[in-house]
Amino acid sequence: MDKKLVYFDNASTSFPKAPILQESFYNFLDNAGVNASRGVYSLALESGRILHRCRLLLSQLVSTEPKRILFHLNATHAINVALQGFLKRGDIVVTTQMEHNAIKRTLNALKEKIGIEIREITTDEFGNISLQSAKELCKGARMLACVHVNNVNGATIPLEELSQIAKDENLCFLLDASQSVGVLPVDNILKKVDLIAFSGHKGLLSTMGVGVLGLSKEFDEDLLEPLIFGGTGSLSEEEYQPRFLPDKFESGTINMHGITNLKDSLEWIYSYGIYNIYNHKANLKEYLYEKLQTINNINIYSTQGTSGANLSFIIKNKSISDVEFLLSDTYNICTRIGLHCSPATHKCLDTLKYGGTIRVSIGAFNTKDEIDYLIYAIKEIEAK
Amino acid sequence: MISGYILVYSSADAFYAEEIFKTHNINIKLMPTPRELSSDCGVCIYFEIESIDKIHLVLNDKNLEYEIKLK
Repeated sequence: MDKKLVYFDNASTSFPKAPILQESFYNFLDNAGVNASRGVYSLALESGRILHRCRLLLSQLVSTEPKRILFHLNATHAINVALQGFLKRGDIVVTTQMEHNAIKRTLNALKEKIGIEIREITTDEFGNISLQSAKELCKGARMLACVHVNNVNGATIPLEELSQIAKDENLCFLLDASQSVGVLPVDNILKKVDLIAFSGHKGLLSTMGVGVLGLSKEFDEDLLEPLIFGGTGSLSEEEYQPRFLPDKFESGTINMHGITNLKDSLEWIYSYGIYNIYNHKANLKEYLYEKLQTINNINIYSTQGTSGANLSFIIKNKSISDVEFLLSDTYNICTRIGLHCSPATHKCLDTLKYGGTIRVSIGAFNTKDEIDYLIYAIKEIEAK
Repeated sequence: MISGYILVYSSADAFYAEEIFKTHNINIKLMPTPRELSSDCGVCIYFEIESIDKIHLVLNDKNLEYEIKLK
């Protein structure tokens, strides 16, 4: 295929990655390449410094202390550490009706395994929730766990208001920020929530394999039990897990190749201007929304305004799989169809009957010309 | 010259401290924690006595928990 590839599946993972990453990867292989925190020879120290630098940059991004940034395999893993590590038998957890399976399935598994009670805040397709209902549901609960930006359509929860409710009701607030970190400003976010989970490979433009659980400065880590136990390079004479951060939650060899890439992509993002990236994505999303509205027979399942960089649509009377195939095969455009691991969202959107939607998710390197090309392709497909 | 070791809980704290000292032009060296010293971390920080006041100042400012052992 000689058409230029146009990538609109950034909600799944960013592509391309930050331009520095090839150099970053080979630099690490050549000049550090060993375990961090497992020795005091020069290579191990260099690796340890990279690990610290990544923690520091992330702690500045979400406003916490470096040691409160915990590295995991991916955002889902981080969410599991938070939910499985915090919730106990009989606890009540409040969530929304539009959750990704990362939260949904984990909560359902805990319901079966240890008998937690799950309460769902009614949510419309734009992420609007009844705050009165949220307040009622939160009474007597121990945790509020929800997604910040929806991965299907970019709907964004009212974070400030939910944060206030969680504080008033003394709940632990876990935020799944997989689709918001690198997309929307998250300054001071760990002053609004207690725990935040996200990955390095989406909005932060790094490679797959690194997830982050961030703890607020006030969160008492004694309330959270690790999911895995083992060697940490510290307290080796002890046969029990260290209780201090971050070692309590980081057993075994961590993904230093991925963490090096994440550190370098963060430095690249800051030098490029993180707000430039936020604005760029918001502008392109707005432009896409406006253009898509002009095409016949399109249902759009997203809103205009400040929501995330994801948009869903269908073409009436066309199968979503045919549309994805044509976009890919004829135009070399990458989109993602289906339920996007979030059947709960599609229930709210009433799009289960189509088998889901066609999702366009915008990344840092998309251009207005690419949106125009996508619109041109959709128009041609609609007219066929 | 009198010198000593700063013991911290984790290597994450040790690298954090190293960066803080670098910012404040305090000369230190990361070292394996001497086995005779009780420590929660495989890495400790070696320093010379002339820096001790500045060390207390910057570590307390960052709320880093530490212990000093003089040689």
